[in-house]
Amino acid sequence: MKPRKEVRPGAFAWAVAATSLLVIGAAGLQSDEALDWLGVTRWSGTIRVEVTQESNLMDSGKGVLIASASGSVNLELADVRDGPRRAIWVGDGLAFSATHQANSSMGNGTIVLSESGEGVSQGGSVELLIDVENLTYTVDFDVGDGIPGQATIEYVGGFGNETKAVDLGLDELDVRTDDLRLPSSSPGDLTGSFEIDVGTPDGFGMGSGRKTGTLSWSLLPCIDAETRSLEIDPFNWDALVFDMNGSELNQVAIANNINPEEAEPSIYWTFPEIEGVTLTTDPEDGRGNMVGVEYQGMPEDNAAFDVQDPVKVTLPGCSEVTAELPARFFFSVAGKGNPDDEDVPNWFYYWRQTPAGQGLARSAVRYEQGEMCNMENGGDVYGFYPPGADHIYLCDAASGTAWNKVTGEYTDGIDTYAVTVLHELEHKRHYDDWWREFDEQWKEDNGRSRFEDTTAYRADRRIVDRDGDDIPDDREASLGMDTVPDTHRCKMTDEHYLAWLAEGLWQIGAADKEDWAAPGKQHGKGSPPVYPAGGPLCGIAKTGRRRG
Amino acid sequence: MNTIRRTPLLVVWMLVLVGLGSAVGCGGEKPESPPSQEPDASLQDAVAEVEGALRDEDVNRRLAVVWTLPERRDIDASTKVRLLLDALDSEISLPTQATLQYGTYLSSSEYLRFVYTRSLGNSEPAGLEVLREALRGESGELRARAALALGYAGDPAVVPDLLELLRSSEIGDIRSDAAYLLGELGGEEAIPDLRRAIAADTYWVTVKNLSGTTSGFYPVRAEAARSLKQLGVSVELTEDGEYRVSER
Repeated sequence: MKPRKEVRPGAFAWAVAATSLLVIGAAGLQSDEALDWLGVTRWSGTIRVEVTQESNLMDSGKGVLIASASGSVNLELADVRDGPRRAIWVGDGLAFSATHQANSSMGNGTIVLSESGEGVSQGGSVELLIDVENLTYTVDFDVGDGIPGQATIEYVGGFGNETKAVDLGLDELDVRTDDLRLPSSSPGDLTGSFEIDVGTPDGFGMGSGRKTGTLSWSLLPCIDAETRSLEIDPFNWDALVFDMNGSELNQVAIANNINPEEAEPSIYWTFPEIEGVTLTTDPEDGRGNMVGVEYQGMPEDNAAFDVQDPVKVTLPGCSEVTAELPARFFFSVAGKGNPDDEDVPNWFYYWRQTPAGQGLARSAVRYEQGEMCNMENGGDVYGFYPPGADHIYLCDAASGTAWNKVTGEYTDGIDTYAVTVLHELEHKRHYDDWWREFDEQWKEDNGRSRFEDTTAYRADRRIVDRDGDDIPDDREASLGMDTVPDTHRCKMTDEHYLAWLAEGLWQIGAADKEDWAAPGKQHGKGSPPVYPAGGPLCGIAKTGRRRG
Repeated sequence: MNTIRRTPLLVVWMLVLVGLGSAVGCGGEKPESPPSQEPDASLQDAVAEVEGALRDEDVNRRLAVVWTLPERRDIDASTKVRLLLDALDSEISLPTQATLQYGTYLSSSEYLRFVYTRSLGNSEPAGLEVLREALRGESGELRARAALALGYAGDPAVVPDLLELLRSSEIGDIRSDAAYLLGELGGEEAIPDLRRAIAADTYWVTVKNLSGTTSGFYPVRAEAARSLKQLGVSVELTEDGEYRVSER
């Protein structure tokens, strides 16, 4: 264990002044390279240490512990000394991400001794020392308490399950490299590795085995910081659509205009996360100028599409540079892949969760695409309510365009969905209020279903609904209806008129900001056609002579 | 009438309008400028846009365009009526194939024709003149619908045409509209034909009722009943769904 070097606190200001003086002195003693190395006031990069420990893992067994830690470092010029002239840059308070694993084989069968842990902690220090006369450098790395000192190992096997703490011994690790040659370019990147061999400590206690490993580093001199830059290729980030038939979304992130180009391998990406969706990158660590990103699965909640975090690329180092682009995610409107158990299209799954769904529970609205969604002669049905049911059905047409035959309003997408829900709910309400009791009574009185004797049923029903408009006669007047089936001349029954009228409760555009469909109100097709207010088609004439 | 024949006429009509505008001093603040012989470019664009929309495969979009066309201020009233008449004529000669319109008892094509007719009825006075031309010059369903549109616009001069339509049109929905408009515009002279219609018109439509079974009604009889009441005749709806008209 070598003694720690002394680093004088607050030496930085002094060092900068001293550097200026040394520039003159060094010029006479060495080549101009010396001046360049001294001109670096900051270094930035990564340090990684990997240690394998042949260790006593249990009182009666041996095994191997593997620990590694890596972190980013920023080194500040701390001291410049004479004889020989040396400059020292110091970084401390490093942020480590540490992992450790343990494996062991016992005499009495194999015992699974696997353990892995991960932790992030602060601590440790790095010193970079450059001998500007001899053009050599050393790296001094002291873990300090930067890596967790202990790991918990769970023993599973023939000896029963047991959990024990084992001393990793890494907190004692303090490594200083030999003198290493500086690269020929000055000042250049310092990249290298150094073999560690701590030897075998005395004793047989847990964690007492021999430690060997590697210290590696990659340090960049902080020069030309003001010229560092990078950009994100904007291709498609504003309109990422989950696949039509599956649930994947693949995208390639590309960084352009990276300066300096040599920094390309060190840049790294962060991507917006979507709740309930697995995000993976290729390469896994998200480093490089071109990274593949895959989102697997689709979110449970519609609101999860409202992603606020941008896609971000970072050029790490002395003066960290980042570039960001907002990323917007959408679901393919007619595609599938949503988490619903019943294999329903995305529009059906996600729009119910918006105000367009009118707060309906999933059980209160069902998706249908069979014969019931076609009119007898082939026209599209938007939705329907089976008499007596506690739910309504929606068909694919409910995700398309519609024109309200009473109010004259044109809708598309999520607005059509909303008005269709209102329309079918109004039918349900009418049945519950007007006909449920009648139908149940008729069945009881006649001992058979109305579908088994439609002629008799129709005749009996006509008695209470003489004009055949589906509104009982005793309700007509209070609803403003006449004793003709199509009071408002809409080419439909008066009951249906009321269902169309109920659609008017929906304010067109009210769910636009929650529509993440593609195409949809926030994607692709832009704003739907906007037509001037045409006024109601029936009920109240716009012009012309009307009596009464 | 057909679209091929009407399109050049529309351009000629626009040229005449421009020429007339110049002749009567509309926009004639600069007498030194020679009167323009070209239709206004923005008008041409607007007309082309509407023509395109009226051919849209999406029936809903067509309906929206048809119904809101009378509200547009960038196309003059006469041109709007001509556009609608052209589209209506196309619909008559080549009906939209989609069948029943959701929520109505009419087919898509019948419903489109109904909305065309209603939209034409909302025309401004200059547009109504074009409708009257059509009434004089056209025949068949186009002429019938021009008459209905004028009826919707409140023109009592079409009462004889409406009576004729009620008596002899082969299209039930046209007879139904005629029966309704006779109640709005007609007088005593309409009562005999309305009485005949209420007793004998056979136009029957089927609808699926809320209980899941089918039922239906006679639209012409229903409209005749409404109109007769409008004209002061007592009409009673019997328990078996028939309309009983008082002898007076």
